Amino acid sequence: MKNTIIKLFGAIIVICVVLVFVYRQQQLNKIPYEKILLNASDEYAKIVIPPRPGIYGITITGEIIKPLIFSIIGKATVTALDWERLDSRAVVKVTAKIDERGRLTITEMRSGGHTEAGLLISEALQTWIYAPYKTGTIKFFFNLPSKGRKLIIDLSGLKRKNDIPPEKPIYDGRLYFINGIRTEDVGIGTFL
Amino acid sequence: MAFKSIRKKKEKIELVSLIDLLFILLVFFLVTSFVVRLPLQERNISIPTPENKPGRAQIVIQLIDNNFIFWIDEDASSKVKEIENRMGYLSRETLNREIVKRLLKSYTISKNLFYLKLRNLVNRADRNPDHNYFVMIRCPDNLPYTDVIEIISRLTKSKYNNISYGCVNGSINDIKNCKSIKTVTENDSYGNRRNNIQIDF
Amino acid sequence: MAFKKNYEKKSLSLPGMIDIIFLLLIFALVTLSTSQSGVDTKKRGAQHDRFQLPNIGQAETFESDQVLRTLLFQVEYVDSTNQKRLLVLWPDVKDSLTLNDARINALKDWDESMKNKMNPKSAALIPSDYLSLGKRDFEKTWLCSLIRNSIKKYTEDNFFQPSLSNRIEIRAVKDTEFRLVNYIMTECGKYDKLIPRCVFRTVVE
Repeated sequence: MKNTIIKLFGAIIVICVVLVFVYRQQQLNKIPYEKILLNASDEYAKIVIPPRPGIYGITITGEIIKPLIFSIIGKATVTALDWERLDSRAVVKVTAKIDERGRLTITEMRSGGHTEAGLLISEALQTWIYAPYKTGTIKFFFNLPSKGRKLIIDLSGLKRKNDIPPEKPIYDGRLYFINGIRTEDVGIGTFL
Repeated sequence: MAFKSIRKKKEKIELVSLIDLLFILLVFFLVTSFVVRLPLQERNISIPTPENKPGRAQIVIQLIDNNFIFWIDEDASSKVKEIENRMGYLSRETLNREIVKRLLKSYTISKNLFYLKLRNLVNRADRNPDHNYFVMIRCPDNLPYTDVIEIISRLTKSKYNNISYGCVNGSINDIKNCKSIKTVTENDSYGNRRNNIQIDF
Repeated sequence: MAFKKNYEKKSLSLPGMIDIIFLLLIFALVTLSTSQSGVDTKKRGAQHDRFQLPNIGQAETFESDQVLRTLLFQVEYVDSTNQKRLLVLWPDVKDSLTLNDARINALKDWDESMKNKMNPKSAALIPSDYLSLGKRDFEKTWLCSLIRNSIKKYTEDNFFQPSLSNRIEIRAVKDTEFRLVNYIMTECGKYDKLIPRCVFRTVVE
């Protein structure tokens, strides 16, 4: 019994010594041996000369000016216009106003006898809300029988809001929310 | 017949010597591992020499004294722009003074906060290895040069070595009495438009 | 019945003792040799105890060898006073001059100049009030003209030697003010791309 305890004690001591040896080896391995051997002038040959500081003034890089995108927002409340439901002979002209908050209000509609199409269009358009960057008049020309553009959107009546800083560019994004229309059927421009 | 009983001599481990031996080995290895690590190696750290022209930087560190540092980075540009928009009616000189006064109030930090910002900068550089950062350090005449070396030592801890630095002589009074401080809209090398702060001494 | 008491005679365990002694000897020899490798002998050229370089943490730095391969400006204390001086340590193209040898050369020049009451060619005392001097007055001092002339001479004479590098090294005690260091860097900067950077000697923790 006594012998076993002594042998156990001895074994523990041996294990401790081995652990210390391992720790020492780890510490020695951390020393960057390659760098010590490398010739100092070779190291400099690889270095890229960093930018040198100027004396007479400084330009401090500022934040990126993120452009604003004028597009339809609030997808949860917006109703898509179903293009397939519109009468293929319908010609409808819509004039609307976009207010400070980006809400669209129809001021004039000429549906030329296609009352149902006009109704569908007005129901959908009145739910559209745009990002509050521009205000003014927006016009939609739905010309379904056309072989060219079937929808033309006139943005010439829109102006940037006064509180938007002039250096911030505003780009046009998604201006309509219509299901079933092809991109090549839509044009942005003026019409009479 | 009388038989002598041969008793086998019980072999026992000489425990005392064993313990002594092992402790000596222990101490020996511990000491030699520390001794190999300890001698202070002289290393070279390089600092670019200044050029006689205006400089560009992402971050400017102006040492004020032993306790305070003025740190300007891209966050300051929106503040300067805001002051310019709100107080554009002031004369250029008054507007300069107003901008400098407000920037000094907002961006003068203590040494502890400064070291924290340095660490955050290094972490940010590690997260964005493709971005290169240039830090300009301005140090007044009377402070020891080791203050600058200390800052550089911390900046060079970035994993991808994408923080470069430069150092010039300059005091906070140069900024307080600068000819102009304003924002300028410029395109950077990636084509992004930025509101940069331009300080002319 | 009389019993004899058996006394076990305790004797020294000689093999064990010899082992311990040999181990102690090896231990002492090893630690003595490794600790001596960093110690400079107390010669004239040896570094003063007060010569402390700035410490840096783990950083991307480069090993400096003791052989001088570049022009080195050393700012140190004058013996046991609080005054500082600048020594200009010149490398030697032919022989491998160590930093200490170059320093000895500079100090010889210093001693001779002190005797003859002349401005030394490789050393300059740093005026204790130099921080309060205006820019022009500071640049007129012997200290600044020594720095200017040394850099100029180095770029003209020794610069493009293959064994020498086109960098200027600065080795200064910790409390050297930035003004002096900046002056050296600004002078180097005047040579545009020839001396794009200065190299500072530091110690790694």
